[in-house]
Amino acid sequence: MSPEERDPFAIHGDAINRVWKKIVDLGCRNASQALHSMLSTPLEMTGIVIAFMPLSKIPFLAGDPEGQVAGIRLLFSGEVSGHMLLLFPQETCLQLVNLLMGQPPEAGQGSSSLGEVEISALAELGNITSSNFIKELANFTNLHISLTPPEILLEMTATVMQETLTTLSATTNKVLTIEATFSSMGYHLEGYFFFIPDPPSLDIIMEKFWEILAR
Amino acid sequence: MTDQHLVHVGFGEMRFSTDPEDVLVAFGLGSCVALSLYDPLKKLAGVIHIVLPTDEGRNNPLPTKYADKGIRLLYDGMIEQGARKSRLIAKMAGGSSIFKHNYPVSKMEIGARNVEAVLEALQGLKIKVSGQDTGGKCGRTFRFFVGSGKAVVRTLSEQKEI
Repeated sequence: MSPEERDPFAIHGDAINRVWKKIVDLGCRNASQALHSMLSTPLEMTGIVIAFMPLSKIPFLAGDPEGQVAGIRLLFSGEVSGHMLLLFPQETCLQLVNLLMGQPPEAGQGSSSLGEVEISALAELGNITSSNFIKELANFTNLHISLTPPEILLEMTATVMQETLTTLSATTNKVLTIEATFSSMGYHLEGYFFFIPDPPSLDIIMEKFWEILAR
Repeated sequence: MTDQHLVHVGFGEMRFSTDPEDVLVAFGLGSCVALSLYDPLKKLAGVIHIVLPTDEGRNNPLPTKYADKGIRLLYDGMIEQGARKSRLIAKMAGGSSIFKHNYPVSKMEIGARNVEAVLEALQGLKIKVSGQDTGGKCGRTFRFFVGSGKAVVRTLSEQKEI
């Protein structure tokens, strides 16, 4: 096979995208169920797969590169490894924490910073979202994957993304970018969810997809 | 400031300018280090966005990403465009420690190692650093104003000239 033929993006691009979409949809559905069992008010998560894009483009995706965001980062390892990152603008974080606490997003406006309780609520959200996505990916590919506890970073968008890039020590990383929406009580809050496999791991995952699709 | 032109110095990139309206900017530096070299007579500026201390002799494709190779390229570029070594002013920012956990040991002090590597490279070229804001735990944006030779560092909580 020529390298082009082996490139899972070049052939069956649509089929591959459908697999990602299915994993994201199932992950979101399970995450919503997990959130529902934990919270007094249902909080539904939906995800729209935007694209696989180079990580270097992302500081500008969320708008102002100097704008403050909360990044919830988890590492995954096992047969494949990499990072997952949930990114929310600062204002959205405060509103999201309110929804998690079963209050309207605007409740308690005036406090503009995140305290310990808020940070731990966001960390839990990162845990639930990421672990359900990873579970679906592991189920589908039959790969063993485990997660580290989340780490929260309150910084400029550019800082969060560049630090992630630095750890990967590569600029060619492709990132699965998902627009994540959390909905409750008629409110919809948006953030981004990034799945950033190490380059050899993305090849392994694609190889699995390819095998399954070829069956 | 509104008329001035922002020139983005991205991850691992290097930019030069003699346009007095230009502002060379490296956004949200964490462990990365931005270094500017400036010849005030020529009003020539160069800024590099260093990511790692060394490419460990691997001849990686983007040499400007590494302090050991990149700073030499920045210096050579300045001299080629007419800067005098004796007039060069160096300013730098970044090299903080952002993420706390989950790192292999070698990655942990990447910010500090970047700062050290930049200082070492400058020492090798016998260029003194006249402004520096490095270390700590916060992200920084580095702006270099070509016309005035001013360097301004901004974090989420403050802004200062170095």
